[in-house]
Amino acid sequence: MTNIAIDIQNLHYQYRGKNKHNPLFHIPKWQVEAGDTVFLHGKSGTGKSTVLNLLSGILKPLNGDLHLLGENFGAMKGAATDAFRAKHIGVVFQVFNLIPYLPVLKNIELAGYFANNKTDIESVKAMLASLALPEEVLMQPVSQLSVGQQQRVAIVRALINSPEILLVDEPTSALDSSARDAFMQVLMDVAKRKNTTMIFVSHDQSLAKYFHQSLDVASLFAVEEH
Amino acid sequence: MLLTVAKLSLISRKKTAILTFLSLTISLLVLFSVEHTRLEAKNSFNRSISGTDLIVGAPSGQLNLLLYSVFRLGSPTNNIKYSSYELLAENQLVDWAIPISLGDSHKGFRVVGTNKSYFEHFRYGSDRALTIETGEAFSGLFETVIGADVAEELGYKVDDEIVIAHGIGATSFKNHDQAPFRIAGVLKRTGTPVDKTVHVSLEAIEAIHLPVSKLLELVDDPNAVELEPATITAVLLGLNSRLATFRLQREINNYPSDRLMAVLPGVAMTELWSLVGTVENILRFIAVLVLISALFGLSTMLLASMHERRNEIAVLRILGAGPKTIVTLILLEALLLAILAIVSAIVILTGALFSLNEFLAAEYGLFLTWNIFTLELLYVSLGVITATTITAALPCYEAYKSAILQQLSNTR
Repeated sequence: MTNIAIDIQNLHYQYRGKNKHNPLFHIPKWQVEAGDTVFLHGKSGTGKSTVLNLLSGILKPLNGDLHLLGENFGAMKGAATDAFRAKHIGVVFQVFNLIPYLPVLKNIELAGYFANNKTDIESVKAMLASLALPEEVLMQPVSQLSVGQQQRVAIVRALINSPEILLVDEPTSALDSSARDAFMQVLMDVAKRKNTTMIFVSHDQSLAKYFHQSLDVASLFAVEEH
Repeated sequence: MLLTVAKLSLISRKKTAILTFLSLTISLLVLFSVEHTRLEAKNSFNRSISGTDLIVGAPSGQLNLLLYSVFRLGSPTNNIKYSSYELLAENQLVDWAIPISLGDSHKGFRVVGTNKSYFEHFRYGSDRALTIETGEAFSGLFETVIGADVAEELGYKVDDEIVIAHGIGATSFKNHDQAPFRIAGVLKRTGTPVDKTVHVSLEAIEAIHLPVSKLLELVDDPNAVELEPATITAVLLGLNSRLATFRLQREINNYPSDRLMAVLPGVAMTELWSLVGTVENILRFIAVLVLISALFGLSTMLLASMHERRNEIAVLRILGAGPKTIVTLILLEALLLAILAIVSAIVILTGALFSLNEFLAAEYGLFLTWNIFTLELLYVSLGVITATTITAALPCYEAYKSAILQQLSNTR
């Protein structure tokens, strides 16, 4: 049993499209150990989102190896990718994490539905409590929640299937600084308790202190000659 | 779970969803009503006469003859001699002959002068004979047998006395109220024009056209006046062998001592139905067009929502929903609306028919059962669901494309 959660070897990716000069991304080697939390920073346009899209299976590598939790995730077919993502990967976006017309509980249950898991209401309540959210929010439509509350619900939703890998994309950009610190604290606590491998993407360097390692996204890529 | 999501998604777009639902329901209501009316009309139309091989009357159009002899509509142009009837009845090819004499009415219901052979030989539906619900066939001069609708609408029962007027209006200036008719029997409901008919003997028709003084003599003594009818309106013929139909028709059309015309009821009915059928088809066509426009409305609603739903699709993708699941979701919404609309249309139509049944029958003579559940309805419903699936294809394709192209970076 490997304790390497993310294992990338010699991976290539290029955006398809009319523009022939799309950059070719090449990651020679990147490994993240299980339970590690990685802060990935870098200027916009440097490939942060590309890395997240590859790790979540939304984009497929051109060639090379992408192993997650010991499985060849990069080579999986569409349906298998979706099923793997549902079971093993949690994702939190910058904004719009939730389906606005569903009540909070339904949003959380939806994650369980796609992972074929029965949602345990007690663990939902426990997580709500640890994120300082009142239980009443469960029945409220998402649209009635504040942005900060929505982001915390998004964490509950992302962690409800106890995924081994959590991908987080600029979750604090819509929060003020005090809310941001509280958010980071609970996020790190929950991840630590569940021993979740976390890739956290942000351009806000001040958040780096919460993480085991901090990485400039540009350092992942090898410079390619065309 | 997906059904709940589809349902809540529709609810979140209440206004457009309700409008789409209403336009679907209304168009389905139109379609179902047209289909139902068409089937019912054809049904009751074809039930009106059965077993009659030839209808004989004065020469006019075959439609005209059919309309007044069977459907009690319009007026006969001319009469035929009673002696012609007697000759026809004795013809060896003829099994039975029913004389029909029209021209009088009772409170808007047509009066038919005939004889006992009418109750013996007249057939409707699939070879069903008339049965008398209460009482018996007329035997005396001033006796009558009424149809089920006449009895119901005017509240008549056996032994009531009624007055028969000359002419066919609901009110007549020349009521023969010196000579009331006793109701001898009420016929069982047939769902044909027979239900709206007052039947009396041929002699009674002669009697009510006598001068008042003679009529009063008759009331005292039924044999006081000779009541041999001179003319009647039409004759319904049943033959011993159907093979003889055309031969007899030719003979009748060339009959030397009276001007006669014989028509085959089947042929005349087909001709009449082809007239009515065209109107029916036009109605059907319009109903289908209305439905198509409603389905386009559904497609438009779903397409218009696609842009605002890009985020939602991204969220679902991230949770592990495949593009197929996204498409299923959109399709589910469309089908949910369509099925709701079908059910509502059926409920509304059934309810409307149930409550308006008597009104339609009384005011327009339309006999529509409120039971609309036929095989046709099932086919139409399945057709609508198929059409919905097809119209939802475009929004589904948009959703699929958007699901495939969705990236995390697109979500802001």
